[in-house]
Amino acid sequence: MNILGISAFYHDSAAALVRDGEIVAAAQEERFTRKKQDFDFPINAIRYCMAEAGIAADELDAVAFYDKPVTKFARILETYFGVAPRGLRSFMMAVPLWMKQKLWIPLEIEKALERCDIKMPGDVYFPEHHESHAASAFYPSPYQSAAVLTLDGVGEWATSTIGHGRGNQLEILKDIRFPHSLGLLYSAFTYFTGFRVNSGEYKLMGLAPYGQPKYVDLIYDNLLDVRDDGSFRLNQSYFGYLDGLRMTNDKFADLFGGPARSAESDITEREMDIARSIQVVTEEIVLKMARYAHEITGEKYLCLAGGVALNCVANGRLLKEGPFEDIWIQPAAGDAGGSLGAALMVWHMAQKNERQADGKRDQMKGSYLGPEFSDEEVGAYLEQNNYPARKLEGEDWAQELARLIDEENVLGLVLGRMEFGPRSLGNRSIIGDARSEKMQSIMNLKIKYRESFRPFAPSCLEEKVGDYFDLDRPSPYMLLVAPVREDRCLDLDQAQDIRTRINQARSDVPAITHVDYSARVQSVSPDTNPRFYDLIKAFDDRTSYGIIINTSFNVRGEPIVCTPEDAYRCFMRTEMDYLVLGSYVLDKKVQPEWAEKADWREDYVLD
Amino acid sequence: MGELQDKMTGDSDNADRLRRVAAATWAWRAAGQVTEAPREAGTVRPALIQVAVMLVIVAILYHFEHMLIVKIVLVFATVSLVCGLFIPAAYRRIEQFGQFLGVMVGSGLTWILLLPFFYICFTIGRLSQLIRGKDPLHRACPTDDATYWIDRQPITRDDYYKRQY
Repeated sequence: MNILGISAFYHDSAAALVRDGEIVAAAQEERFTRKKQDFDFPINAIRYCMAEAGIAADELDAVAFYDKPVTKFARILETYFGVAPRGLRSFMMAVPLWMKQKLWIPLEIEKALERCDIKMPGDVYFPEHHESHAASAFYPSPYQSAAVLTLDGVGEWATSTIGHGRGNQLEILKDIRFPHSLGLLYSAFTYFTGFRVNSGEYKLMGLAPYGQPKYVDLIYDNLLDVRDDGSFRLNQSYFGYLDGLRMTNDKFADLFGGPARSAESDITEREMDIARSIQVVTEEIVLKMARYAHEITGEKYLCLAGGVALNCVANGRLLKEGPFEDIWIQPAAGDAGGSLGAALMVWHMAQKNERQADGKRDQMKGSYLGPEFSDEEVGAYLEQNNYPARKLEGEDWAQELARLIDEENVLGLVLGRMEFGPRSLGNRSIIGDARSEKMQSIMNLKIKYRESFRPFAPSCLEEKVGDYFDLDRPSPYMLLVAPVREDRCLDLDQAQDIRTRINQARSDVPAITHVDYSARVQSVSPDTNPRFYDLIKAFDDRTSYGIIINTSFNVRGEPIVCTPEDAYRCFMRTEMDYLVLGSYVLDKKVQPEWAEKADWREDYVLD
Repeated sequence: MGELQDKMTGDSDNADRLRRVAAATWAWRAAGQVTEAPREAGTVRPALIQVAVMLVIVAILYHFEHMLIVKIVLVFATVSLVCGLFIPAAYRRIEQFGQFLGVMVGSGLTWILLLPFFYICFTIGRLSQLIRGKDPLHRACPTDDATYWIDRQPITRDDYYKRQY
């Protein structure tokens, strides 16, 4: 049975294909349209999923959309009933879109399938938004039974849920409802500190370690009321998202001693302290919720999804201080993953098919669920365009790349299937030497063109994670933050100036050690990505360091590259030294001159 | 022998898969091909259709003796016909202007229809809620509730997953 899962119309549209319970393909629309967080109907992602699965015109059995659109529309109308006569501008923006498109999902699906030459199946399903998230967390997890926690901005009404998964059954037990939302609270602070809502949240998280938690009491005393079980209500008199187009209002600004920071202006100590404070509050709420989920389900394991589950600092703390023996986080925890969850929900709950988890391995295939391109295809492309490249095979490939990294070159890497979710896990990555003191600054300013405070993540041989980090288990999806081992850290004077602090070497792997001596770890296994593993292993053999920097292959505001052509374009626009396309290695110095008519940076909206 | 055959079948399946994926997601071959430049869309047919529509309007207006508007529409019809037949570039400009006008009229109508709807429907609804002391958004904060978690009702309907609500 082939089930197509779709998420669309909010942010990060995506499609996923599940065949007889197995995840065959999944991809975000932005990767194909090159429009960051594209929310249009994911026609290109659907076309890819169909091609990957080799589905003929009449072989699609069911489609699952990741939420219930009519309930969501009812919530929006009810919100206007709650705030009128305010809210006109938001109403005028939202309602025409709903009338034109969002209320006619089956029609949109039919049109999209027609464009892919696929016959519309008779069955179209609509699980709830948080059910889709919960399903994306529980069904692919290694656990036969687990508590399930979902946290995001808002779905239909729910903003957080606690669920219980057993075998093929998944039941949502409790929820917290709009407008009280941990995701929206975090987004409000993202907005207030001058970053873009729905994309700048991870910057706020990255900024937090630079500050002090000065505003924690202020937040608890004024903005929210939290119970011991982690449930909470937000004091709506400080927020603007119910009736306007801003996340916070003037009262919120007065509380924090001035207006919101404007985008791209200097980051001050206030923003750092605010970032740290809301991060602390978020972590405390997540911990309380997890304890309560443990209490009411009695489970040993926890599965997490929803946008807030991408807060890997909170995840790291949950693993360390929480009541669960282990946790599993859906790598595409945001709305994109809802497409996968919806399809799995249909397979297990609507179709009542059994599920067997082995307690060890998850079903995500390393999250390498996107398109891949053969060496033949890449070779033909390079030849046609006269791009000089060397083809390396066998052990030479890994050894040569290890040498290039050791010489402090920055490499763009395109291997195998593209990752599903916001993290690059070695197949669409920019990599470099984690031992280099100048690498963080080079990568941020000359390659990614992004804010200098932002940290880089390490990819580490799975068996060596414990040698570098205070972490006793794999972290294959880069969703856990762990401290760098104390014996690797250097004592520093705590300089106040952010630039001074960024440039200080903090450990023997300075490029991946954040200011609080932590790192967002990816452990690399030979089972899920043998080529990437071989590369790091070769680097380890050469340098005795089984660890490298790994950041997503894009520049600021650009979606992660998908095809070798996207990668070549990004490579030539930045100061990367080498590009690796499968077995082909391209040296920037010998490439033909790259000319563009317009300033390409204008193509991307800064996040 | 069997193993070798399986491997060959597997390799062939994988090659097919990669070809399908490349064809669906990376159109560099198609982009590299020299294709015939797309022909510009004709202007004669749309111009004739427009003129026909305008003549119908003229007939109706003539019947009701709105002679000034009849003359204006006839001028538009003549300009459209001449441009459509002989000056395509000018016709396309007219078309662009028509599209712009369409968007403006559409936006205007949206506001004309939705603005009164918003104030009449939602403001009255809000007043009604205030009078009855109801807040469906449960905004009160803090409250005396022991918890803010809300219990979910078990799913009982068979068609639950097929419903959009």
